[in-house]
Amino acid sequence: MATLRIKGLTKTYGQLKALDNVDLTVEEGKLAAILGPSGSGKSTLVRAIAGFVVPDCGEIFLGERDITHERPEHRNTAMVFQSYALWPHMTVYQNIAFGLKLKKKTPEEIAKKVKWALELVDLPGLEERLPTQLSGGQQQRVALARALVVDPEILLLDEPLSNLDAKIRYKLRFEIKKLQKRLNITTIYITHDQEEALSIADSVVLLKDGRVMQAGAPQDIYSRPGDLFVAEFLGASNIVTGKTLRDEGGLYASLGGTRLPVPDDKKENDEVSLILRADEVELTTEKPAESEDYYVLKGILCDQMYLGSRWRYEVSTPEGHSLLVDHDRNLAAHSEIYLCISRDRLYIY
Amino acid sequence: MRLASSKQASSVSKPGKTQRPRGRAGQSNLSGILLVLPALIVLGVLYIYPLISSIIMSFVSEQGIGLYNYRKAINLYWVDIFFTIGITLISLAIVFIISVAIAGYLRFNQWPFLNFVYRLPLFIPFLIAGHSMRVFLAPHGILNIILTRITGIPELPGLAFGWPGLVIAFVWKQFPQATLLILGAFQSVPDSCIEAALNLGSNKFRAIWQIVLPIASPTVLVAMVLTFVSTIGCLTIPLLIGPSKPVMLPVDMSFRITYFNDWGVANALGVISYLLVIGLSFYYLRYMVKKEEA
Repeated sequence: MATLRIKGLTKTYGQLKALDNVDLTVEEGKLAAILGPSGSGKSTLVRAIAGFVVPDCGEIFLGERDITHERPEHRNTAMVFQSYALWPHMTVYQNIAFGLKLKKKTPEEIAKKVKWALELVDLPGLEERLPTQLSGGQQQRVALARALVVDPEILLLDEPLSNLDAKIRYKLRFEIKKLQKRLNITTIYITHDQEEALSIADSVVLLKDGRVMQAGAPQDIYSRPGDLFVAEFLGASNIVTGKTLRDEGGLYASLGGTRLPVPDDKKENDEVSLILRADEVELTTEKPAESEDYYVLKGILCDQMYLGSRWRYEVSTPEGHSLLVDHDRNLAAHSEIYLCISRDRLYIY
Repeated sequence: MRLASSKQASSVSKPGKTQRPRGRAGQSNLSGILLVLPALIVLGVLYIYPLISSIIMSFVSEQGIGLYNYRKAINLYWVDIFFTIGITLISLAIVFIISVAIAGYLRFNQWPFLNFVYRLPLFIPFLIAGHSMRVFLAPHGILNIILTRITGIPELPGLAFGWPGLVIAFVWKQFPQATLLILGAFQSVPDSCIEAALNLGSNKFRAIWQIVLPIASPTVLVAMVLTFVSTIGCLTIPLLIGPSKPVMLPVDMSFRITYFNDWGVANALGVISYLLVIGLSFYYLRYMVKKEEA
C-alpha cells in the first residue's frame, strides 16, 4: 500500500492532448474515482500509472518510488480491465496463479494464496473452470482476484463494471468498496458513471479533455460543482440559460419571477446558466414566506410523469423556461405553484 | 404528390416483399453452386482424380495388384523417407522459432522495415529461391566469400549440396508465410490480455510464450501444417540445393519417373508422403477437437 502522487502529467497524441498537466494525489488506502466522459483521458491516466503509456512529461510517485519511467512489470500495480482480460486458455486457478508464479512462490504458497483470493471475491470452488464457463460477473471477480492476489501497492480499476448489467453492477460496486476498505489498498477507479463514482469513492476527480476540472470528496463535488461542466456531468436535471439583466440594483438574472445574483465576472447581456436538480427543489401550492435561506420561484405545472415513488412535473416559468421538479403528490395540471430552492442548491455560472 | 406515390409504391410492394425471400433463396442456392463450381471442378480434376488414380496405381505393378511397389519403395528409399521426415521437422522447428520471434517482436514494436523485409521471400518462386541459395551457399559462394574476408580462413566448406543448406533454403523460403499468419493471429490477441500479464510482472518474452502463443495456437498450428505440407512436397529446392544422397521423397519420385518410367514406385512414394501428412493432420484435428470441447 502506498500513496500515489502524480505531478504535471502530460501526454499528447499528435494534436490531441490526452492528459494536460494532471496533478493528483491519492492517499494510502483511499479510493479515488476518476470520472469523465469518453475521450476525457481517464484511461490514458490509468494506463500511464500502469506503465502502458509513456507520458511526455510529469512524474508519478508510488510511495517514495518514482515509477514514471519504470517498466510495467516492475511497478507492482495491478489492473482490472473493462474486458476482464482473463486468459481464455487458462483455468481460473492458472489465471490467478500466474502473477504468483512470476514472484517465484512455492506451489504450496500459490495454492494457499489462490484459495484466499477466491474466497475474497466469493468464488470458492471454481478453480478448475475456464473463463468461458463463467458469467460476466464471475469473470470480473476472477479478474479482481487475479489483481489482488499479488499484493499490489495500488489497484487500478479501468471501468471494471461497465460490461455488466445494472443489477450485478450495483452489487459488485459495493463489494469492491468493501474489499478495498478491508485490504486497505490504494485504488484508482475509472468510470463514466457519476452515480458509481459518488457512491464508491473517497474522492472524485473529474476529468475533461485531459484536464482535472475538479477534485474533492463526493459530497463536496456534488454540492459545490465548480463549473457548468461539472454540474452538468454530476447529473443536473435542469440547465437553464438566459441573459444577464441590469437595473438600478445592478446585474441580475431572472427565473420564476425572482431576482437572482450572477457571478462577478459577468457583464450585461452575458449568457448565464442556472442549474438546479429536480430532487432538490421543494414544490408547494401556497406561497412560502420570504427567507434568506431559499429562493422562491413562480411557475405553472404543464406536464407530469409518474415515476413510481413520486411524480416528476414540468413547470414553466414566466420567462418561458421549463424546469423538471419532483414531488410526492399528484397535483392538478395548469395550477400555479411555487418552487422553493435552497440558496446553495441553485448553481449560477 | 410524391409522398403519396411513394407510399403507394411501398404498400404495393409489400406482398411482393414477403414472397421475395423464397425466390431469392432458390436463386442464391443456384448462384452459390455456380460460384463454387469452377473451384470444385479444378479441385476434382487436378487434385481428387490424381489422388485416387495415384493411390490405385501405387498398388499396380508388372507383378499384378499388391504391395510390390511399396516393398520396393521402402527397400530402396527407407533412408530417404526418414531423411525427408527429419529435414521437414528440423525446418519446421526453425521456421516456428523464427516466425514466432518475428511476429512476437512486431506485436510489441513498430518496425516497418522488418515488417516489409521479412515478406520478400514470399514473392520469390521456389526455383529462384533454390537457385539463389545455391549461389549464396556454394563453397565459393557469396556467404563464404564474406566469411573468408571476415575470418581470414581461405577455404570454407560450402553449405550447399548438404542437408544444412537444404534446411537453410527451406527455412528462408517458408518462414515468411508462417510469420504472416502468426503475426495476424498475434495481433488479434487483445492488448488487454497482454497488458494484464505485463502488469502482473511478466516480461514481454513470457507474455508471448505463455499468453499470446497459446491464445493464437489454432492459427500457429495452421501455419505449421501449411509449412510442413509445402516442405515435404517441394521438389525444386531439394533438387537444386540438396545433397545427392540421401534425397527428399519428391526427388526420388521424379527420378523414378524420369529415368525408369516407374510410375508404380513413384506413386507408392507419393502415397507414403500423403500418409505422413495425414499423420500430422490427425494430430492437428485431435488437438482442435480437444480445444473445441474445452
